[in-house]
Amino acid sequence: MEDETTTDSDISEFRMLNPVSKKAMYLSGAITIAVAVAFVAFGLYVSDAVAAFPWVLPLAVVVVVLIAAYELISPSIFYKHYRYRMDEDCIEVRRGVIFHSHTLVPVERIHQVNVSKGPILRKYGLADVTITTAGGVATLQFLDEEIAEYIASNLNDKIVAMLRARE
Amino acid sequence: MNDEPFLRNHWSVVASNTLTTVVAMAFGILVFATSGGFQQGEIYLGIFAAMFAVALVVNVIIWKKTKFYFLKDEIVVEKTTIFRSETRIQYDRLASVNVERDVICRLLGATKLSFNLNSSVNVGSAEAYIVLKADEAEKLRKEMDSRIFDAPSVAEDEIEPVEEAVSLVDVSVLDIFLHSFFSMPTTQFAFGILMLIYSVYSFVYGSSISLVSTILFVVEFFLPAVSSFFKLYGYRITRSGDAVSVSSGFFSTRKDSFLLSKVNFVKVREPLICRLMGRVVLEVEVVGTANSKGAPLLCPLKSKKVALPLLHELLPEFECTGNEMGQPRVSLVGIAMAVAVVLAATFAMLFVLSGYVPSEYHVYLNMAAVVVAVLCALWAPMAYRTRRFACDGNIVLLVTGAFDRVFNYILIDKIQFADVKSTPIQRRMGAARCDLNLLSTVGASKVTSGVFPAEELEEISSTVMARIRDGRYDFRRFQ
Repeated sequence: MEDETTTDSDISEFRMLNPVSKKAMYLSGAITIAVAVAFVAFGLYVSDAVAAFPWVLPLAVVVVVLIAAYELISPSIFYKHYRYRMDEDCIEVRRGVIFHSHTLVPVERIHQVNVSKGPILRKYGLADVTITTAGGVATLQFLDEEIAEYIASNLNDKIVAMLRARE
Repeated sequence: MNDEPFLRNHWSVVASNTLTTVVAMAFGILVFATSGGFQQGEIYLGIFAAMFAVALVVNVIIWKKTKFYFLKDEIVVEKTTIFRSETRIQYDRLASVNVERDVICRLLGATKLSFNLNSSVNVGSAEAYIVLKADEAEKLRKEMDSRIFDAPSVAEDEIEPVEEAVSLVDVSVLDIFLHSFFSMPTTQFAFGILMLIYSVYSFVYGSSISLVSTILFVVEFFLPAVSSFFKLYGYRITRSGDAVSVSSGFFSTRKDSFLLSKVNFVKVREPLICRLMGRVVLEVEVVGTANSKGAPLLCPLKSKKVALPLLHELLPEFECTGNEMGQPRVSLVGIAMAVAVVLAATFAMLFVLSGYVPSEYHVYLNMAAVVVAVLCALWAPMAYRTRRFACDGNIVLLVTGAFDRVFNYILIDKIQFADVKSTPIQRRMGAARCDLNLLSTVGASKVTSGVFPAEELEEISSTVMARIRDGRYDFRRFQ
């Protein structure tokens, strides 16, 4: 568990996610698999696709198996590669399963910061931070709730201070 | 605020809005009537009259209770209707001021002025707009230009009518015609021509013209080209100090004015046919200048000898002195995989189709397979050779595309953030792609590079941060 109070120095170096985030990813993946299975089964049941096109059934099975395999394997890889940090003037995130990405957002460019918690994230005490700039959105996923709130409030303070300094 | 002098919209706004509402309502009544609604026609007439009266009253109230104050430092738009609002727009935050005259405005002698902020939030629509009598609008626009763009004062401008200002580039009707028909993406152009050929073929050799291919030709090729022709007819670009004005239009006219410092990035577009003709299109990304016309043109399709000097004259800072680098060999892996996926999907689809199509039509399926294979064979080397990258510390140049080449000149200080991405094979070879996230004419957008050394692409983010930290980035320069 994180300390009660997060400080700048805690997140100025690259950090990994809390291991509990893997549980959230697995639960989310299980729901995705269930939805995919239900969707394909319903589609095959109500349509005559299998009778008309015999190759549809094996194709649907292959697609569902691929989705299931990805959802089962990806959380541990995502967790292993995910790193984030925030310092005085930028936020950095490294992430990815097959395709890796390195995002660097200067604080100077940030317009808005949101913290969002869906039901799965709330269950595990996690939250996402969405950072909006004029050129798009960057997201920090599966953060501990406390760290997410800290990052959001810290960024908001910096933005307000920056705007005041400009006036 | 009550003591300040204010302006109201021209009455044509009431007419236009009421007409729009009434047409929409009439359509609803028509649908209801045709689906077996009331038996007596008088009822429809009564409903229509009541709706017209309500629409008229509502629009008159909105018109009456919307006031525009042009104060010393800001514009205030005050609405005291049921939904009260007060919009304040500081002059120094404005990215562009547009003058629009649609057919209704031209008939009723009015002009619409729209004011756009350099913000992603309101990029889809103007922050505020006012419709005035044409001469009042022109006077106000000149006042705005002098306040926002430090353009010549009203008095000076009035001596020399705007119509007499010399365009920076001479654009003939033929240029506009060529631009409208040949500057569209190559895929769109090729598809349109293919549909035209098939329509003619079916008309000459078949029993009747193919309706589907004719409609596709008209919708995908002919209408966009004709629409572009009428929108760009009479194209003129003029400069006053640091402000540039671009005007055009046949039925509806439009004039966009923007500060050169508000340009977020520049595109030099060369669709395949234009490259063969030695012509290019210059586009700049400035918030508030889109409105279904796409990025504002600095120069429609013209020869490079005319277009590129214009770019260097207007925006000399958008010149990249860094050494251009081509893609390393590892990029061929991604290109080969893309080709393999397209070919596999095409052949699988054609194989499945061959089971359902009569055998006399199999020749068409074979032709389609050959065409896709040839296109892939042409695309792959072009995708490898075209994409290039350079950075000189101030400007990033990303050359993107394959058949259609685009030179993206991006001011480093305008990059919102960068995202460097890599596949497993690219990581092994130290290569990556990069998404540069920017504010474009149509909102947040990104320009994706080809495959280049990862450390070179990572350097973009480092340069952005370095410029912010050491003060080379000065936000006031772009306000």
